[in-house]
Amino acid sequence: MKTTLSAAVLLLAAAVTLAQTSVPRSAPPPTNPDGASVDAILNALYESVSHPDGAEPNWSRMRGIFLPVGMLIPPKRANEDMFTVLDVDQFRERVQKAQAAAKQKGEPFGFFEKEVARKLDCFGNVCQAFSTYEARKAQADEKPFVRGINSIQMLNDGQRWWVASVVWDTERPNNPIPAQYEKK
Amino acid sequence: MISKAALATGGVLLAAAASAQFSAPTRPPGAPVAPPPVHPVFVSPSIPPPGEPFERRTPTPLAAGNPQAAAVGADGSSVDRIIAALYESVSHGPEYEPNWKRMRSLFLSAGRLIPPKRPGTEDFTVLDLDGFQDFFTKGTEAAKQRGQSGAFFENEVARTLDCFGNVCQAFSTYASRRAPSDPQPFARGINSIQLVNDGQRWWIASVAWDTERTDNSIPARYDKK
Repeated sequence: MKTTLSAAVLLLAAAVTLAQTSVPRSAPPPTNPDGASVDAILNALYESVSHPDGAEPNWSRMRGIFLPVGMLIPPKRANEDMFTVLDVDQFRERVQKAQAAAKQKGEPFGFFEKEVARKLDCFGNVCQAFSTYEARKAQADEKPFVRGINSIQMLNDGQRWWVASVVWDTERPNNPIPAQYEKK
Repeated sequence: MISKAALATGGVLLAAAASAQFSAPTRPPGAPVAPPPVHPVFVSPSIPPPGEPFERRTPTPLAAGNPQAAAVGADGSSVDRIIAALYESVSHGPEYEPNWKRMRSLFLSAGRLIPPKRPGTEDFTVLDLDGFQDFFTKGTEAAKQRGQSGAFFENEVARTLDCFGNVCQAFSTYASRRAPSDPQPFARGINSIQLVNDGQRWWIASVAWDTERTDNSIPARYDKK
């Protein structure tokens, strides 16, 4: 009985989705306050990826920020001879692997990333941000364990902002963050 | 050739399946949660859908192991060169078309082009190089049918560039003409271009653009070279 009910709920959910998406141009898009402005979506990007030790990024929130074909391109690792281009689901796998590795080594894997400076260029429905970040293992840490810059491409569909692509690099001894990207 | 309607239907079915999974009360803890419903986006049929094996989504071998390397020549050697190559490869005379091979060699295999949303439509378009070739060719055909030249010359008139390590982003103002000698462009706009360097060369990861319109003029700071 319970199984039948579940199946019915499933069918109903599928039917509702069909009804909504088969007429995309008249269906109102789902409202998501994270897409309301460039400020809002950039804040949401940093908030959703940040999490205390023992937790994970807020994946459903992050998915709601990116275009369904949105890309994340992390820095190429020294042992990789190709770039890794990820969607949000693949980024999730990558984070979870890193978390598992940290756990095995008995290291904490809290992650708090925040924006410390932003250079923004906008024209019509396209914006790009050069967003300087720092990341800490715990919010109270005095110094970040890593800093870098996110290049973030954003689009507005007339209703809201989406992140199309995030590409980043990290600060290294031979790659310091230039002064012009240090100030808010 | 997959029609847009067919693709949309596929998307609807996918969304329905995903929604069903999301609603399933029996979903085991830790199982993937389906993404929330999203605004419809048209995606090139050749872009692998979410969930495709990783290898299909992006392999971008280093120049050494890359069969494209010979064709690339100097185009990837600097940001200046690759942006110049982008404009050069898309430009072509009336009897020709863009240099697709050259353009392909500029982009990561997962590279994207995102044209402006067409007026009167709610969805916008995310294209890979195959999708862009199709999109561009249709645009040329439409211009010819209107009695216009099928030629296309786009040049950069200004650039704002930010670089850090192996990442650059350019806000590149362009002007498009039907003939290089036309005094006025028939369209202007700005390309947002994301670039990455693999240690050997530059690649284009993503190009998104918007056009100048009566209610969307190019700000003065993006208008000078």
